Amino acid sequence: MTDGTAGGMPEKDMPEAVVRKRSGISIVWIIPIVAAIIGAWVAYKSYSETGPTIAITFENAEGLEAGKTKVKYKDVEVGQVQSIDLEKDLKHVLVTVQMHADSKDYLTEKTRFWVVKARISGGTVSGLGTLLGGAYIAIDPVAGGKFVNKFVGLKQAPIVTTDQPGRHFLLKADRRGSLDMGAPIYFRQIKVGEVVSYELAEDNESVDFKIFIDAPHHLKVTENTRFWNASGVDVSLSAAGFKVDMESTVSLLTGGLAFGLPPNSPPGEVVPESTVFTLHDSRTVAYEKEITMRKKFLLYFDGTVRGLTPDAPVEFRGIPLGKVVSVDLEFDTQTEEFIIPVVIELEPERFGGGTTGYAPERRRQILEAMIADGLRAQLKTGNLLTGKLYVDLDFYPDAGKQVLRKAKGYEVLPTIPTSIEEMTRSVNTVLDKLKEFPFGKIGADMTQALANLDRTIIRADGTLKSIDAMVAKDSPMSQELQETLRELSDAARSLRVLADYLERHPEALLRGKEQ
Amino acid sequence: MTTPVMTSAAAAGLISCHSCDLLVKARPGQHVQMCCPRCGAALHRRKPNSLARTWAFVIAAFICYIPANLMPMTVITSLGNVQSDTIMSGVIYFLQHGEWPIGLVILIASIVVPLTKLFILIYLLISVQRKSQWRPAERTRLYRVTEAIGRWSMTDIYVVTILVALVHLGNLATIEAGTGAIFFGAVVVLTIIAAMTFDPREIWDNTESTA
Repeated sequence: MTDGTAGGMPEKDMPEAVVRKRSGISIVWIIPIVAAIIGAWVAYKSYSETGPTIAITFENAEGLEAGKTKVKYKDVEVGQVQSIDLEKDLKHVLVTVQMHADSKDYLTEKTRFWVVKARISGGTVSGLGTLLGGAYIAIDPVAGGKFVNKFVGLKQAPIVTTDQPGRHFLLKADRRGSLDMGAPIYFRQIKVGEVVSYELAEDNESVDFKIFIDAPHHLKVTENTRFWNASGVDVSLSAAGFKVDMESTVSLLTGGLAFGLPPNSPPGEVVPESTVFTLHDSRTVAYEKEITMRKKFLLYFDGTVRGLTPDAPVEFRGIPLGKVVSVDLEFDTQTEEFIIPVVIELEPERFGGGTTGYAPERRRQILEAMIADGLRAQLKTGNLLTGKLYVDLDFYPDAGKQVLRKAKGYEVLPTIPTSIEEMTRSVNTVLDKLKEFPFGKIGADMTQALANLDRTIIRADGTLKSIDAMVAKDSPMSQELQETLRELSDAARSLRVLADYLERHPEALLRGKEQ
Repeated sequence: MTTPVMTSAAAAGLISCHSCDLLVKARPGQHVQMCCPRCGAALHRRKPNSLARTWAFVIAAFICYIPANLMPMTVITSLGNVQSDTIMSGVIYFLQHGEWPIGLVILIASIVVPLTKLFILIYLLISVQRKSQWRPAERTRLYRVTEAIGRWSMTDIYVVTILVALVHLGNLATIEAGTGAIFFGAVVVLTIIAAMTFDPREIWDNTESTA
């Protein structure tokens, strides 16, 4: 190869290359370094922008899409759903969310997540934007707490978010009624809050409502505030007329609550968060004196108690004092008779509460004295249409002597028969009296009297006939009468002539008639 | 006729000037820069520093390849719903929706081709450095393929560019190029440059030196 030629040119004639020094390391390595720097910068940027990854458990993944659904707070994106998986027990879905940086501070135990979808409830429409943009996960961030990365998503949007100023309270009610989450709460017919949630109390004895009153109205909730169920329409008929009362048309549909102060009641202190109140059935009930003490008594009735049901009122001279607790039927083995024991519940606080401080012994003495004075229970018809009965307590000084006794652990108040029973009895007495009435004899007497009457009438007839004959036109009496009248008229005429003459010639009285 | 002498210019100690094509006798010595005596252009026996440069571009391309695939290629905003797609998520989207041809085109053009190119280049570089004599003709063909298919990876970038330019419907729909698009473009450009800087003659140099 050494004698090789190129282009047919002799080797020795070829020009030789010029030598120039060249630098050491190639400049080309800047390119991968720059690429590495940019790559590292991008990596750092995206790393610093990504916050913690959290897992949220939901009932279902309706409307959620991996890689698409956002987590938003006040419509600002704070995270994105990465993946949606089923939990191992197949009961829930596990949504993995990549949160943005700085979100760590508010991912605490109290932070809540829920899926926002278009929702129509209780007269409000929300989340219409999700119809076009798809559902998103909303967050209610609560800062200041331990960081957690596992959450349980709410089934529904919470009524109240943490940043909303106001106060929560608890209400205890016997039953749920028609109240739902988000049911409005009114104060003087202005909506000031909402029902946040409700659940059965642990002892199953009541329903616990959690409510939220917006600021600044939460300051209206004080020690003496009463809450009542304002669902539906309150129709009342009083001496003032027919009155329909309702808080709002919305509460008519969705149920609602109202609160206020009973008349003549001082507001008292403003109460702190989560104070427990009782939820009353109506405003009337709510405004009644709050009853904390109840005393049970037993009543024995002989007659029918048809129309007497538990919760029927017990009244004293028209003022409610308590209610009927139970109505039973018993067979008394000693007397071999049916008896009806009725347990009633009296609320001593209703008469001023003055007696609540009495010692049991003193109270018993007073009660004994009252019974001796004629304190009796009686069934009365409260409603003529439905025939509902109520128990009326009153003093009947004429009632027979009775003493206070005890049975089944209750003090027994003596009773007197119902007014209907009494009426029946009186009617019976009248009927008995009627039975003794001598109808036969009266009949005979009446026949005789009628015969006498007959005779009298015949005689009277004769008398009338003779009177008739007397006044007939051609009767002598009539003719005589006419004659007399004619003469009387003549006499009157000559008198008039005399009077005229005397007027013109008064002297004629002395001198006589002039010729 | 005798078999033609299989010799290269380098083996004959000659260099051709890039600019004026003057055939010049090479001077011995490694770290010297030779110049054309006629036009003064730099003379290279082979592409200068070919291996190192190719390595540099290949490494740079590899670095860019990672964010190109992890970062979103397109950010589509339609009706207030923002959706960002990486290359792979786009491919999966098309495949899942039964658009096999489009999905495959994107898969091949945007993932298979750049990766194949990079790996072929790496293989060629390593084989040259190890002075491998195994099938130089096939390896050269491999290089030619690499050079030929390289530019087709740009289709993805073109699609994104056209979409970004066309779809500007305000709130209804807007498409923006993501960071991944920039890196992907960088990958394509860098691999093209890497293929250009590689000197396939190096493959043959090894076979000559031992022949």
